[in-house]
Amino acid sequence: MRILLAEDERELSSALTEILTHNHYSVDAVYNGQDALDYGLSSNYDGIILDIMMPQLDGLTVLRQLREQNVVIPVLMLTAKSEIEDRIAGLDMGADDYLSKPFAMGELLARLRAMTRRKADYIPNILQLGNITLDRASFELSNGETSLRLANKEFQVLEMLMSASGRLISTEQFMERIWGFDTEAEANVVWVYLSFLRKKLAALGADVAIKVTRGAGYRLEKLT
Amino acid sequence: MLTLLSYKNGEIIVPVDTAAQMFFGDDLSSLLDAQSLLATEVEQLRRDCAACAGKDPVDHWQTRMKSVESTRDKLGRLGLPVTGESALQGLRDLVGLRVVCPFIDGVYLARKWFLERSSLEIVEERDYIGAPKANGYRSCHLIVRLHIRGTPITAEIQLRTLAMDCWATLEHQLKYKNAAPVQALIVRELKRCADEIASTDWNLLSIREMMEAGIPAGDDIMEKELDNADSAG
Repeated sequence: MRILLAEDERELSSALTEILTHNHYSVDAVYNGQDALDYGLSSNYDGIILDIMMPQLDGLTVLRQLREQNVVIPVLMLTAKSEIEDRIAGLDMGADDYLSKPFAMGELLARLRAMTRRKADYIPNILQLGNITLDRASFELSNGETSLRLANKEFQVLEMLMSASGRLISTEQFMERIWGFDTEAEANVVWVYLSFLRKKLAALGADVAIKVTRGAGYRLEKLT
Repeated sequence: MLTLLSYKNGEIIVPVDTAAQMFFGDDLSSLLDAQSLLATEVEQLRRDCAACAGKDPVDHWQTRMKSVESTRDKLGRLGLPVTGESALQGLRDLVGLRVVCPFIDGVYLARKWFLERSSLEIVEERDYIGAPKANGYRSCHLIVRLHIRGTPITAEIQLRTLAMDCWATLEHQLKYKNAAPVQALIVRELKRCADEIASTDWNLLSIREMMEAGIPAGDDIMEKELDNADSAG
């Protein structure tokens, strides 16, 4: 999952980036309201963590402008303890949740999981297809007997495939969502990760496999 | 006097103490012969695979005989008479062979070789790779019976990768089994490490296979994919 992190305190931002990455998210960090708005408008994130007090544009303005332009990405606001008015305004403007600083990292991660699964089609914490499950909290790919713990990008590739409900996902979509725009990675990196996953699905005796459709992309299909 | 020895990669490492002679009596030489027979087997496995598949699937191996002290302990725990004879009948791991492979396909190659080996009688297979223990322990165990001059000797062969061996060696050093309040947490974290290592084992094999077959450039991937789909379907 791809997260936009808008937080002007550099130390907090880099700590959050570190922890989010460790928890298998891809993170774009911006440090002012204008960048937050530009990034939010131009890319399809799974969630935005938005600080209220920021230079150039404050978080509430960013939020209002995103919602005005029909950007419906879930937004988690970060507010100071005393900013009760801001919280009310933010929630009414279309924020999905808030946390007041200082907060516990575990709570931020749980709220992020809760927020990103409240989409039009509900995405549960344990994805299942055929005889295989993928746990979005522990990153375990399991067949019930044995489990493999996936690393960040592998997990994200499989998470996209398992939550796509049969839709095809192109190489470009994987690249954009997981590696980001400004990546120097080559297109065949997606294929390398698909190869890792295919090997592991086979090792677990999965009755689903990653299949390809010419010119369109990949999806998980039940083996017949 | 008998020369009592243990072998590691074909080299002599530990002289067996005289306590073993007193405990096992005449059966000791059968146990030692079983140990050297397993050593001969694994060297044959390496030669066969090198000749057939072009590479040796084994990084290193080791045989060992259970010490008299832990044999006594185990018999006591199981409520069996503490004698050499009862150990030979009741314990299946007096003699052990551990084979460590660089890549996980080597483990399955070695397993197949042992299962097809007519000189070994397979008593039981325990696949802790397909179904790991609660703490994440992974290895393939083969319980085999050897006949040494008419005496049946049961031995345990453990097959694992270097990464599994690394985990198992460190886990063995931790000695957490009586750490009551944090036991469950430790088991859970050890399992997490083991599951990560297992994931890495498969990636290392994938990388080796990519190097052998080549990684297609961006434009060629779709063609390669469709070729693979055709040949698989």
